[in-house]
Amino acid sequence: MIFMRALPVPIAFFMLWEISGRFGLIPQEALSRPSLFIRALYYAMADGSAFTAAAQTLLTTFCGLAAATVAGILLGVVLGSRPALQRVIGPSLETLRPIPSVALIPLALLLFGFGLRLEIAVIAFACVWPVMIVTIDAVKGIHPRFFQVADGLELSHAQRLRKIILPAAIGQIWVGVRVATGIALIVAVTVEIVVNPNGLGYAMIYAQQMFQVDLVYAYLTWTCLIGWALNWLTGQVERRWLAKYQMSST
Amino acid sequence: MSDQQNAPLQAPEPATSRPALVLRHVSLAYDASAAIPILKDINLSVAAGEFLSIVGPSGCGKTSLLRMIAGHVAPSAGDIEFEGRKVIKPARNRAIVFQDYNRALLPWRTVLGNVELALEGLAITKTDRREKAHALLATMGLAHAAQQYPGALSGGMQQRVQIARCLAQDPKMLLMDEPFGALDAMTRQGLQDEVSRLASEKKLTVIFITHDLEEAIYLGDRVASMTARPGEIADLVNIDLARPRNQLGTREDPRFLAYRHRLFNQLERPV
Amino acid sequence: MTRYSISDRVGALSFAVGILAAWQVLASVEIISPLFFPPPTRSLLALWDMIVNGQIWLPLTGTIRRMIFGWLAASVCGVLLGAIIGSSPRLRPYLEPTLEFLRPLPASAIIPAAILLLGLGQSMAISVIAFGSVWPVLLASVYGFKTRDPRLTEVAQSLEMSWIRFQLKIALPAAMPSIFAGLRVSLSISLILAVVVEMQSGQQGLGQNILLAQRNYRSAELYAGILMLGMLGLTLNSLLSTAERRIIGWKRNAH
Repeated sequence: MIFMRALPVPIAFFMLWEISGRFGLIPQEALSRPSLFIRALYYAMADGSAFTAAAQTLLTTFCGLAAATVAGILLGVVLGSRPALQRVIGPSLETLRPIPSVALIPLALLLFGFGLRLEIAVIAFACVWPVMIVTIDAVKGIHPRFFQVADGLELSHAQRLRKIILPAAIGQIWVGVRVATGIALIVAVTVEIVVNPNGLGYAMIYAQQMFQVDLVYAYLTWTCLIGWALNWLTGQVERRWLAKYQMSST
Repeated sequence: MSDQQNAPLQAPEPATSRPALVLRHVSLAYDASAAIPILKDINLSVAAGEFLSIVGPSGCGKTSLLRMIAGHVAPSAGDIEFEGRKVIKPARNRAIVFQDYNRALLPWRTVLGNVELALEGLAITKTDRREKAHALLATMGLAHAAQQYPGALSGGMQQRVQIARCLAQDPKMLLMDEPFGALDAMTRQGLQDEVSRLASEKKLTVIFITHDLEEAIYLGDRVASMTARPGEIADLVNIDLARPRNQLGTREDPRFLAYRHRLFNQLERPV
Repeated sequence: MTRYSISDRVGALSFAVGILAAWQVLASVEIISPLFFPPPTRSLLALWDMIVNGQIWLPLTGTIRRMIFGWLAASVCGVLLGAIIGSSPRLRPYLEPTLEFLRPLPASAIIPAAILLLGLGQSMAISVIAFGSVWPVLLASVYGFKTRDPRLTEVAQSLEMSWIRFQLKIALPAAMPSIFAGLRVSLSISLILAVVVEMQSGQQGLGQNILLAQRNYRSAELYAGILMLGMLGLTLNSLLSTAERRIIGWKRNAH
């Protein structure tokens, strides 16, 4: 089975790490070893701190993602259905896009101070672009016939959006959301490492500053698992719920 | 076994020199348990400088046969000898011209670069290599396209580039897998004559696969017709038509029509 | 890609200028806080000052050097490893699942562990940048070598090409389009990580500049720094695009 062949390399890696650690071949104050950090993770889970940290990070991730999705879809629909507007506003947006979201951390810090709003704002900025871009593309790709149907039924803008545009475009938009989800988690953890005393990133950097080596690796593993789980989850949503909305294969 | 023959099933073997290519009891199957093999008991002897056409319906295994001769696939049974030595892997002297020419050319190299590919790694200077490549392109009528990329060329020209590259290998045998199948009739006819001319000029042994019966007869010294499932050689016909051949005269020759008649019935028989 | 006519360009430019002008006015009369949103002219002046009195160069070169070293290391490793893994159908099932599992890991998450291992200096910085940047190149490279047309292998076999020649003349060029896609992503990641590392470890650089500006409430310098970073990103990207056009320009002509 495919599954079986996935295991030997990681298992060998961890065993090598463990053995080198036990024999004193690697600096323990820098590198820990699997038995130690797994135990540290266990304790962190047992006293709830691992889950608290995860919850904090996931909260900001989802809020930032939600804000970005709404903003991205709205912008995308408006710009996608009005090409003239896109030609005027587009270039200005394009100059903002290459700004790395991390560069905005100090700005967000200036505007919001420490806390959740800072993190959510940076995440939202980073994530709005992929959503907006795929939405523009998706809206442009909607067959004019659908709009004619909407006109014939005399739908309002909101109804048009809800009943025609979104269902037609949702498959493509979801791809953008999926990309954005990956970005969201990365940005969240980054903001936490750099400035924000919140969540998984902060737990790691705090452990590092306190020289709690095992805890650093414990949280690193934990973050990895959360990232993977999030990725898997979005994949599942795609497979289960969105199949019926897809007009063409992604 | 054929039911309408007066002619012998197998044409008389060339008596003089040692044959260039020999296939003895060659079979090919996906695996040992397969009920029907792809190819069953193929026996063939091709003389040096001979132009052998192989014609047959889709799925009769002719491409597999060619790939075995080229050395890309090993037979499940029997052996293949080229110039007295067993064929075990591909070699420069057995150049193979693929049907999907666009996949066989390097899109990131110019036409000249593609032909030079066959000359790289040899003990010749860069200038010599360039000259040789240019000469080959001129032979194939591609001199003007030397600096273009394959992606910008028509199908016929791309196929000519591939042929040029194969010729750059300085082969003894040319293996062609339905090389003109994807081209229009006019281009096809032009290339047929070019290949014919090159083959006789450079004294190449050619194995030419096609599903176009008339093309097979027009080009070949002999035509082998194959049946499918399992792939077997049903008939091997000596083509006794004057060379050089031409598109109008040869195709109207009554003997051409007779060969065509005979082989047509072969191919139309239900499998 | 939308095509822009002259009137489009004028329209887009007017819009941008209009926004900036509105910002300028609103900040000058303090309808919006000039502390948080300094008038554009002040930020531009701050940037100009930094350039003129040479203050920009050390941070700029610091950031560039860090990210380029990291990116180059990542690119070389990524392409080599990708070539090996992608070309080997036997190795792939053992390694690909691990790679896929590690892909969503935030590269910055490695920083605390890296600090423990390597301290707060240049080696930590370049290691983090390299580690984070390798994934896009590695994955793209694996893909590029994996999805090579088998026909090309047969052509090489027919020509009796040596293994080395095959890798250099066929395998690598065939994978180039994929590799470049990966390089573009990893370049952005290098820049991001360089900035993050600077903010975290206090090393000289544009990221450190912005953070200091924030701490001292010098918002004009903050915006200037952001502008500088945006321009750096754009410049690097267009340099890469130019290189890409030179090396895989053939792709555009293919039908």
